[in-house]
Amino acid sequence: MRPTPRRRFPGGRKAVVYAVLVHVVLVALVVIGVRWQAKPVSPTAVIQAQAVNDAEMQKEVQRRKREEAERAVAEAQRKRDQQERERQAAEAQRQAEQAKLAEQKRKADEKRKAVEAEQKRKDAQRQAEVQRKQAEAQHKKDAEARRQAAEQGLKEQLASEEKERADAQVKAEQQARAQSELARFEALIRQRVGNSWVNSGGWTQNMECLVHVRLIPTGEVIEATVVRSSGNAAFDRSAENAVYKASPLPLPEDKALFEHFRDFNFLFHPQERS
Amino acid sequence: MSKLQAVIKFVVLVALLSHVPPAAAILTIEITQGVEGGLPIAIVPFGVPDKERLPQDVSGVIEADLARSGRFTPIDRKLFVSHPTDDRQVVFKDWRIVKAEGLVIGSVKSAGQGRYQVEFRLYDIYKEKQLAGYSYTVEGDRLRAVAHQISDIIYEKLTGERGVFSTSIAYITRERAGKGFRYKLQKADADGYNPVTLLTSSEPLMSPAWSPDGTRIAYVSFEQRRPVLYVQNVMYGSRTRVADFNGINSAPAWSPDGTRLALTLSRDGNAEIYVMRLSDNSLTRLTHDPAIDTEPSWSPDGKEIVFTSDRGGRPQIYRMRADGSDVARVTFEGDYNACASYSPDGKSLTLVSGTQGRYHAALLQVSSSALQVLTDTPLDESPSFAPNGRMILYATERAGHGVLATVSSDGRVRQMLKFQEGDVREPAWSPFNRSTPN
Repeated sequence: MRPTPRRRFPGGRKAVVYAVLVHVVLVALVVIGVRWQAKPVSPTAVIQAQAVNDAEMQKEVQRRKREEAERAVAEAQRKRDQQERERQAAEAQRQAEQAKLAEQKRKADEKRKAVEAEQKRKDAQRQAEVQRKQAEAQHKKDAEARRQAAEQGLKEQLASEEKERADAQVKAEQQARAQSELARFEALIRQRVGNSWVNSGGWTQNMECLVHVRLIPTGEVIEATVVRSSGNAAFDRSAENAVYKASPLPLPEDKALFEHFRDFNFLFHPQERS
Repeated sequence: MSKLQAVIKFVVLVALLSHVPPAAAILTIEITQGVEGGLPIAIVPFGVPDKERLPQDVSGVIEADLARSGRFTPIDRKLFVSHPTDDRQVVFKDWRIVKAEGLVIGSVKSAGQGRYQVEFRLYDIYKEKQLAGYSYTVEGDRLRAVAHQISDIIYEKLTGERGVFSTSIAYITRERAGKGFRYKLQKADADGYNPVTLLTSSEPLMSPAWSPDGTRIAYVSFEQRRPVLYVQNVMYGSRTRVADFNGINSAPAWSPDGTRLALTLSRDGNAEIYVMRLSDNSLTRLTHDPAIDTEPSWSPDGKEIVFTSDRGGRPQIYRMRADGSDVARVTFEGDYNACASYSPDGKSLTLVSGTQGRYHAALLQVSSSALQVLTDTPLDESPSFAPNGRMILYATERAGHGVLATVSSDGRVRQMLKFQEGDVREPAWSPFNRSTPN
């Protein structure tokens, strides 16, 4: 709201103008009234003048003059009263007008204010609506974004899971392949070494020795050494000999798989044929 | 597959699956099955100076010894790439080619005055190192003995067990002599060579039995027209009559400590088993059965005696405590089981097992009573274990003649021993020599 210093004296200037106008009117009325006394002629006055003598007539005239004067005065008075009343009425009317105007203005103000308020309310409402809509839109957008993000995340997760699964599968397959290759070559090696391990009848089931073996990629045994003895030198030697005699050992071509066989052990442990 | 084997395989599998670096969990491959057979061994003919004729083919004797044992398979000499006779000539690669597990080289040189110097070396072909090397200087007639000693050294180095090539066997021969027969108690090298006659008789001789120390042999002689039991000193030939009771005196068996003999006597009317204390010839009767009880044999710990009895209707093997208590039947398979004797480890018996008129040397696992027939010859008799338990000596028939044969105690390798003439029966393998090499 705009600050107005004279706000507490509304219409002050107008009142002064009115007062000046009223006085001007009054002065004008007095001036006009005086002229009026000398001038106006009434039809009745003409009739009376015919019936009176001179003196009498004079007197009459005088009296009439007086009466006339008195009447004039009264008239003036009445007029003045009238005017006063009129003025008052006018004033009242003016005041009423004014009040009415004020009322109207007030009402207008009120209305305006109401309108303004309404407008404001509406604006606010609209604003709120806009905001709400904006918020809603934002919310929607966010939600959408979230949804999309979530979807994306899910997709990514799924994709990544799928990839992981695929990777895992590939890895598992590779491992399984490696595993089966390892197992295959382990079996081949076991068979080859077993076939060169001569049991001439002296080994018993409580004999056991661990032979550490080093190979080169051609499968040639470059070292076979008992690292845990059976306690029987002949048995230990038979185990070492079996490994040497089996040289070269069958090996996978895959270099990575060969690594398993670069350095490994044989556990010689006779068992009854089942 | 045993549980242990399964566990080990599982562990190996887990170690593989866990994909840890080889350094952390090194691959271990378990070898549980080998091939049954003799160890392949290369025996290079021993070097001999030019034009020198030797009384014995030393390396040939060694090769035959090792082959007969069943523990070795000598590699065919035709496959040899080189023929080293001394250390500097050995190229190990040559012997890896033929997959040998041992290489034997050596030489025999005259040392003058009928003496010879024998040198030999045994090599580990893969470790490329010498396992044994000896030099002997002996009379020409001792060359076989040296060869057997070398065989024993090789056997022990490569199998971890004592060889029996320097031990002896005792047996009975029968030859035609005029209208009748001539019987001999002989002893020979374990391969049947170098026979020495300990006793000659025109009447049957039976059941030689070595004392545990190898110095005496107990036997039954019919020289008095009935069976009488003697103990004779192997080296000096002196003998003692230990059982000359009425009726049968037979089937002597030495207690493991050599102080007693178990034997069969019928002096009380029926063939029963007794134990005689040799210090005073006192007797203890162990069996009391109307059936025939005979052929006692002591367990190596001296706590039990097995014997043959027909108390069940047919001859079968029974076992009892050394005091005659707790008699129990041992054999259940076959129509006929007789002549049992313990292995040196006491875990098995060798015996004659008969089914449908065929009699085979067989092995009985004491713990399980599982019976394994070792031979395919039809009339085997008198099986006895070599002192290391790895071979069994028995008598059998070939072309109507009694001959001796050996079989590895897993039944894998059988070999006839060479004899010149007549029938050979009732063999008995001696204990280890008192004086053995290394």
